[in-house]
Amino acid sequence: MQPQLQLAYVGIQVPDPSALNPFFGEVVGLVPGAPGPAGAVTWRNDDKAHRVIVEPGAANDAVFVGLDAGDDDAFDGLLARLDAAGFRATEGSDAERSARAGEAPRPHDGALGRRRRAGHRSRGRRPRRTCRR
Amino acid sequence: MPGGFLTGGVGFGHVVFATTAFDESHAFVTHGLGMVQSDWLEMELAAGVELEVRFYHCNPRHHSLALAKAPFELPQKLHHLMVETNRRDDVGAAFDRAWASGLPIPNGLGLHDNDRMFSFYVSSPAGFLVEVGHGARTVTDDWDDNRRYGRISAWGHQPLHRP
Repeated sequence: MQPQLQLAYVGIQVPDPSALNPFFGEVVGLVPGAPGPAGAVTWRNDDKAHRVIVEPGAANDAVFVGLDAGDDDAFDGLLARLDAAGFRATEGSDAERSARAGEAPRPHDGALGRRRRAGHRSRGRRPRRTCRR
Repeated sequence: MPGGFLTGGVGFGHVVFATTAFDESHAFVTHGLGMVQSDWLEMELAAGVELEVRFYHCNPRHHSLALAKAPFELPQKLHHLMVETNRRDDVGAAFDRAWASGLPIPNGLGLHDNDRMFSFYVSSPAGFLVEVGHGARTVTDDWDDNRRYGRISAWGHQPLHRP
């Protein structure tokens, strides 16, 4: 099965992230994740730093999705595939790198009109890119 | 969640988006990201209202991402995110919590036809839904069941109304 991506996290933007605390924590049964930047609240359902990132903002919608490529070779292969399909990758910012607990995301705007982040957990040693069409 | 969640090697769950850019999104997911279509749903929701949803896998989880064709821009593109429990009873316990919370339950307990997930859906205060489920079937390298489904659920998943 190629490629073996995994859905790493989803980013949701709402005016007040803390308003979803009872929902995610008490109803759904997630546990608090690693502290998020600038008012973001994170949640997880396993030992990863975060699986759901709730950040403050006006969108009231998902604003990004994170995919884990697994290793550097797979990630490079994914970038090549995206490039061949016409999606341009650009490097993630230091702020985004910091916000993702050591992994620098590669946000990109796919056909959905939402930022989609492809990354892998190399702890920031490799340059990160975002992908845009 | 007492029994924990199923995430090892299959990601945290799945997300489903409704989009007016359906064909472009399908191309991005398949040609760009390399995900593979598991199957798809086509059905008439009401007279003249068609529903089309495509489900994509990139690991053994039946789908990590699904796209629903939206006829017009909706208030939210995120329809729902799903988390899968390791124990069936944890779905029931989550359902009890959802019921006690007073939040809307647009889909009560039921079984999906394509991925065979036993689940329910609860509305978040922000509007998007969360599906809590258990027991979905997995896909393998020799997946050959990419076919059309004409119904969302084998049973259940009806909207629940509080007294």
